[in-house]
Amino acid sequence: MLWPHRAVTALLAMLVVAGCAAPATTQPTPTGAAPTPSPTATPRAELKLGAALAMTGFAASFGQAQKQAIELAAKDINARQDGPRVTVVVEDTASDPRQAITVFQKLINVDRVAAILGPTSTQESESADPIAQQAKVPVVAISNTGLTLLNIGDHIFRVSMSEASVIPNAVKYVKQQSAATRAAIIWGSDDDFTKSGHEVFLKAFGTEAIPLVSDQSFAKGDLDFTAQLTNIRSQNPQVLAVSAQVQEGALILQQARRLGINATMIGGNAFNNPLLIQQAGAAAEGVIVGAAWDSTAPGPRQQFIEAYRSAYSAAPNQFAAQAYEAVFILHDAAKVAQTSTDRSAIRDGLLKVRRTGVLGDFSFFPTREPNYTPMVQQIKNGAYVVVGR
Amino acid sequence: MLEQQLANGIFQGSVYALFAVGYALVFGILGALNLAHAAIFMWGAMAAWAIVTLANVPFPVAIVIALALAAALGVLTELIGFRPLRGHPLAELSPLIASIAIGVILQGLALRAFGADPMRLPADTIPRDPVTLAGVTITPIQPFILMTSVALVAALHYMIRRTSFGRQMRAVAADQRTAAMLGIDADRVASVTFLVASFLGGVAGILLSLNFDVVSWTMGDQIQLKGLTAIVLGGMGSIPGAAVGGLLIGLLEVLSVAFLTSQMRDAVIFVVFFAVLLLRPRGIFGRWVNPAG
Repeated sequence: MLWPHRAVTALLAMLVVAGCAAPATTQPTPTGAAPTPSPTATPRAELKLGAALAMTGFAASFGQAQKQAIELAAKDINARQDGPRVTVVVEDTASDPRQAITVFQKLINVDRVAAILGPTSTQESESADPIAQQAKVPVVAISNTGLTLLNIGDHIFRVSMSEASVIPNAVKYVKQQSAATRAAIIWGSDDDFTKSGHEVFLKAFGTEAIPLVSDQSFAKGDLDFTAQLTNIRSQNPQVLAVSAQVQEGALILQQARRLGINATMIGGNAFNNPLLIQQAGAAAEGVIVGAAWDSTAPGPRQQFIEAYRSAYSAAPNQFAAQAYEAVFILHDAAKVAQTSTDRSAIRDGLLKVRRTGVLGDFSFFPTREPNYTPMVQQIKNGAYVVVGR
Repeated sequence: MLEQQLANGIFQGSVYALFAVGYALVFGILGALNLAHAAIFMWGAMAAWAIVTLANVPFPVAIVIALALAAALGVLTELIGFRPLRGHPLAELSPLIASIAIGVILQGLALRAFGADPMRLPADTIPRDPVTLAGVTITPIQPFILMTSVALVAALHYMIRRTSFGRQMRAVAADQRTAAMLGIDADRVASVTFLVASFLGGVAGILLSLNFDVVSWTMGDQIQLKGLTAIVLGGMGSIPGAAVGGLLIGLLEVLSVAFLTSQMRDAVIFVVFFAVLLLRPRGIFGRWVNPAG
């Protein structure tokens, strides 16, 4: 036990050292321009943000990636002499709604943050967001897709798109491509996210007139899906919708292909994650993914992917991209509002943000839902390819 | 379709059985539940993965090292969480709580060391291409899983019933103080019991990770409940009971999905569980022991 642990610790230590050492050397100096005035002349204001993330518990896989993305965003913002400096107080919600409440109270009353990012899962937000709403602290959700979340109040925003925004397009695309006549679905029945995915898929199959021939559910943490998939195989569907988080999703893809199911498989936001391809391997080939974040377009996205990769030696997923961009959005809101401490002004500033960044052209609707373009992707040769919008 | 579902259930059940036997062994001999068992199960799989991937050691060698580690973790659990509490006024409860703590610590260590994402074994570690025999699709690893489980449960049964150390174990199970007076080293019996139980837990972890090609720090969470249900179904402390209980749960899960609906799966298991508690509280193979004497 000792040696892999030590090896990993040593590796981490090396990465941290490498991560700290690298950016110091890349200071661009514009040719011919006068040397930039010393930043000590006027000290930059400080925008203090709280991040309530699931670092442990069932959602830890997302929370840890989000923490990395948020810290990277703060570093990138602070490297530019533009607007206030950003500091982030990260707290662990342990994927637990009760702990999320405690974390919110600490961030609001002890750390006195200007705004909060998170929490990671919708069920944590449902419990903790009312605390922020009551204290009039703006919250920007970075991975919550629950349908009723924003009803909590006018201080709750989100940059994450719900399954309802991304799945219908994917189903429509599959219908256009294959004229499918039999659909099946497998979904997680104890998770708000996968439950809403199930609803949205059923509605989309109805809209596209593809009859449902098999409806199978599983529980969080299951490893064996062969019983449900054997049922599905006996109905011989052409389309198989998978409403699952990436851990279960990768296993479902593998076991479905192993059982010889050759239906076109469709997933939602959770499947827009390089971990899916890494885990499912060849079984992920051809899977259709309706998602909010296009990781293939050039520009800021590629710079983000490159920076994330070199800092953490892993490819970022959609939820990491949303977390990264949310820090910039709050920073923009503070710039628009010309304050780094006035919570109400920052809240109003969020509605005025217009930016082109890692999520493409981004703004908020007056409903505080995000306004940007979802797309349909397909996994080809181990990579995401945009096939439609 | 039924043949396929039965095969699914038997393979799944055989891993549950092997896992549950570890619980039953400790409970049967020492009268205490080791709730760190699921974390040790996870560490067996996790260590095998880590050694293969990070140290590039051949897989069979990695398995041997990982199993030694799992067994050592079991011995350590007994030493830290159970031995100091023997004779404690709350002797029934305190080792149970201590083992929960050890389980949480072991799980946290795995999360710290390897991160929250699930991991796969390197592509060439095991054969993955499925074969179809008489309409049943299986992977080459599945018959191996079944045979290993059956062989290990049988070997354990033989050890307890037929060897002199097994006799010592049964003596300790009957009455620790009397066994000690007869010259049996109860501490040693406790250590070896944990060693064997955790070795089996480690094997179950590795088999499960081979079957599904996944290793993660949470892989013990689901099987923990299944294992506890299996030992109550089979009869607390009965080795054959735990094995049959595990197999039964694997089959029940699959058959409820096949003939009812997948949403009823866990409900069916716990209805059966409840019925057994009501109608035959000692379990299928359990002998009734009156705690008062």
